[in-house]
Amino acid sequence: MSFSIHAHRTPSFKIGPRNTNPLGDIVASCIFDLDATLSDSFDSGVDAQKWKNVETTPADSEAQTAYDFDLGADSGASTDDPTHVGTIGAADAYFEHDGGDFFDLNGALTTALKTLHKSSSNQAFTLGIAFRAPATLATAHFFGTADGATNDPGLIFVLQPDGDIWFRTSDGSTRTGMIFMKNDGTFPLQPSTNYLMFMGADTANIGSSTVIAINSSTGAAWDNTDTIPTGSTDADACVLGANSAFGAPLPNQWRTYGFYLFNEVLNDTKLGLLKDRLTLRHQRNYNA
Amino acid sequence: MTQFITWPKTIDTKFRAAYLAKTGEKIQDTPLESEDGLSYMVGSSRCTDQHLSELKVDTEITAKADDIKTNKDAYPDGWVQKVVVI
Repeated sequence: MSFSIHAHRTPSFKIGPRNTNPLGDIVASCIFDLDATLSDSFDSGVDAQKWKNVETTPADSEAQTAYDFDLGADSGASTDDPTHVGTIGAADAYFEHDGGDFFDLNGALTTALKTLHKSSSNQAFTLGIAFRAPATLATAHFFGTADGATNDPGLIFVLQPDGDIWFRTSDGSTRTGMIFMKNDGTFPLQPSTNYLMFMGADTANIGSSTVIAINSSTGAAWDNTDTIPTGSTDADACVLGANSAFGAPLPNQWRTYGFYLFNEVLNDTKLGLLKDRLTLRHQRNYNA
Repeated sequence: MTQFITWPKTIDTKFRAAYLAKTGEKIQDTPLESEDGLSYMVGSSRCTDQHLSELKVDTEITAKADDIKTNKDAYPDGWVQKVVVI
């Protein structure tokens, strides 16, 4: 008697050819597109101290270079520089953080970054970040136009050790000018996992227009919202991977693949386009 | 590979100057601090064992050489950010 064995394989996620075009060619509201896997964004042979914006025509009409960031606090080599790992321009390259590393805006703060936190500026935005969470999560401020003090004007995106994320804004006057928007454990981040995350808000319509999408092309509203303060004080710095005073930097072994900023609250169609494009760019499955 | 380096605050100024001279890399203004407030720590992918041995030649630093510690394997416990976190 003969019999045959049919191998049963788990269906694999097939990723198409790599696409390294800037995100602005599919979502016009792109302000900056910083990516560790693109040689136009980071090439240590050209400039080992700068992470460059590849969006040639930022949606806020600023110059492309207005959104270049220094590795660390300045353009010199320092222990606060994230370490680029992998081949320049390779899909699997990344910046590794050691618990004290971040990126600081190279030039003067742009109008959009100064006013991101204000309801009076009618500044809608969505921040995107592609990363691998470390084995041990810790409190980290992964984007900041404000420092860690309660009343410093600006906003801060925060990762909590339990995997929750939230952001707060402050108008620079009182602690009551601070709000929290929290993703209350509906999708807490897991250690040692790759994520593509988009978080946005229209600060003039905070109660009705927010989005959070984690490894998904379907956005959800944030759990809790509050009134954005109307204070007129501008933010004075922008840092990726820490707050604006370089406090609470991303934890050791965090891997940053890219940071992306748009001047609108992205809808599901645009979230889907971006998720597909970054899947091809990074050759990585960002499905949950 | 990232190497974590700790040094006593008592030789901080001297250590920073010597570190920059040997490695070409500046130590950041706000390193992590030990919970007892007596030491600093940074991570570096540029600092080599050769750099570290050269660093310890300096007279003032040599006196505290045993207090300069490195760790290539793991992020040491018990270090805190002194910048306000809310």
